[in-house]
Amino acid sequence: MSLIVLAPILLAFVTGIFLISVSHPLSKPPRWSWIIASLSFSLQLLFGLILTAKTLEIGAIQINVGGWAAPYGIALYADAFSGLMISVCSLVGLAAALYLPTYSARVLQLRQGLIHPLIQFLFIGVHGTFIAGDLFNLYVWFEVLLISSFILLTLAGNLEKRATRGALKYVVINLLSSFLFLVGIALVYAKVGTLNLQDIAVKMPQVLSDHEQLLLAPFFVAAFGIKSAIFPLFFWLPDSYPTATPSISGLFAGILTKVGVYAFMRVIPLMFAGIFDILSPLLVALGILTMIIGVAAAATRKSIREILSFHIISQIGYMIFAFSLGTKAGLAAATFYLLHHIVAKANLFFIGGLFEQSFGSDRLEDQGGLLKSKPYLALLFIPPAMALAGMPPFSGFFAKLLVLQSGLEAKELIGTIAAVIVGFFTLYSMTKIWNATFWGPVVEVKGRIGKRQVAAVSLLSAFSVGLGLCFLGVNPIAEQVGHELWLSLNQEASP
Amino acid sequence: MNALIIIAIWITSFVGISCLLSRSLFRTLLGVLFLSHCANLILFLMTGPKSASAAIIGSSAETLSLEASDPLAQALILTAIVISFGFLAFLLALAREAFEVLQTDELETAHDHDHLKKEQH
Repeated sequence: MSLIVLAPILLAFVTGIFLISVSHPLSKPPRWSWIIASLSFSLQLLFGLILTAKTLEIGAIQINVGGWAAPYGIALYADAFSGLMISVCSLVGLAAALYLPTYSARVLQLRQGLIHPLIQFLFIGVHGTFIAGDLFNLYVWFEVLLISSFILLTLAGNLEKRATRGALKYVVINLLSSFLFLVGIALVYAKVGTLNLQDIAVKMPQVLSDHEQLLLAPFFVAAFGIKSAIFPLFFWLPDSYPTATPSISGLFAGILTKVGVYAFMRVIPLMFAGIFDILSPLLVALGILTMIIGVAAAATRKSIREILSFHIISQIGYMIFAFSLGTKAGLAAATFYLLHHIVAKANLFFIGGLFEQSFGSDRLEDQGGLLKSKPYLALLFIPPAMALAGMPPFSGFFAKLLVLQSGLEAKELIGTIAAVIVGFFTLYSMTKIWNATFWGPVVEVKGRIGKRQVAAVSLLSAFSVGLGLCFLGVNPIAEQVGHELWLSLNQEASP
Repeated sequence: MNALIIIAIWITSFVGISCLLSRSLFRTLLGVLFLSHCANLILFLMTGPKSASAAIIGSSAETLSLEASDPLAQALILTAIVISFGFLAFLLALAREAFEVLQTDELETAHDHDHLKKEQH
């Protein structure tokens, strides 16, 4: 049983160690790295799916590491939500491993060998976050995730000033987020005396008054907010994500902010269930502002990755809005939105990378006429773009539908109307990219596109289509996850 | 003793945050360093600096005595120190590379939008 829970982390660890041992820093990495990495991610995906199936059947799995009993030792807690997140993130990792070019001109020679193993190390942190049942353990997995992401982000550093500056901002602001998280942990431990999440959920309302909980909440909201890039804490994202290489941007865009949203959805209902009705209006307002500002800023950008980075922020707003409603429908909507968005966003970044490879530049004005030169890219671009904009039958339509329905049910009319308007603006941005890249006078195609990269993008596009077509099958799962999260919010789940 | 630690937290957080917000990259690094010290001090304060003995079960006892210091707190602080040490090492290497690339210590004056400018032939 514990093997299923720990397998993704162990796989990522073993693969990372192996890959880094065969890559000499001063020479090109072995040409078969991507085979090992893809194999590892496929196995991680398999174990994630097995975990999801198991936890849907028998409920959450709790593992007490080292045999120490629950509130005293470190507990790992895996439920259906964890399983779903592990599966989807492994899928994106698989696509990234396939998508990475064997040799990238944008990365320094002596760092080429680091990319595949670092992505594995990144995933140790990612999978660890999804199964953490203890607050400090969550912090440690976040740090594992963070340091790998720092290094991946700086790989292009010496070749581009933007990359160095963007990476510095990313590093410093995320260190601030870690600091806030750590201070929050210290305060919680001092007052409540335990760090086990389930135990805190029981003890918090007994030990702390509402006023004191409200003093604690900003630390966690700010820490997770910086990681999730909500308003007004998102400014590091558009400065750093566009500067990285397309494959790494896509990986980050799909996964890192969603890990922050996962932490929000896991920790806040458990810890602050008592004051959730006070926090809810604030978080709803932040979600609405995030949605609007993200998409408004995206409309002004002229480079593909910058537009997409602002769209990450806007879509995070949808998830935070749905989550903050606190209803079963809202939590289910946020879960489904996570599944849809992780894949769609990573896919869009990868396709944007294909455009950049074709034309040599990321800017919209340098592209054109791809419909005549490479029509299959159009077929690959449509699913994630229309999914993001919310067109049926892609996954985004159902995700947005669930969010709108939960907004109407909770009588948040401003948020619902904002969500609809933001959807139209998202469609505008996607058609702007389509217009610039596929229509218009044909621009000479300068670069090749690898078959592996097309395979990676097709995999993710197929998922966006499949998730939309299989909505009726996946919706009950999302509803079950939403129900479990709602139970933790309403203190009916006793340990 | 508690008062001294609280004053230390106060000073390190103030210095840390103001250094973090400064223009010079080197001061930003110092800010990160101070903030990590601040976090460690908060962890130390929050988990009881007033205890007397070490967190070791004596040879004649079965369980930890009540005056012993909290071992979990020590573990938390150690982990936090080690993690911030690793981060600081990386950040120093990154800052050195940034200085070589940007040729200046100040991030904002090195702003170049040449990815947005058109090529001037």
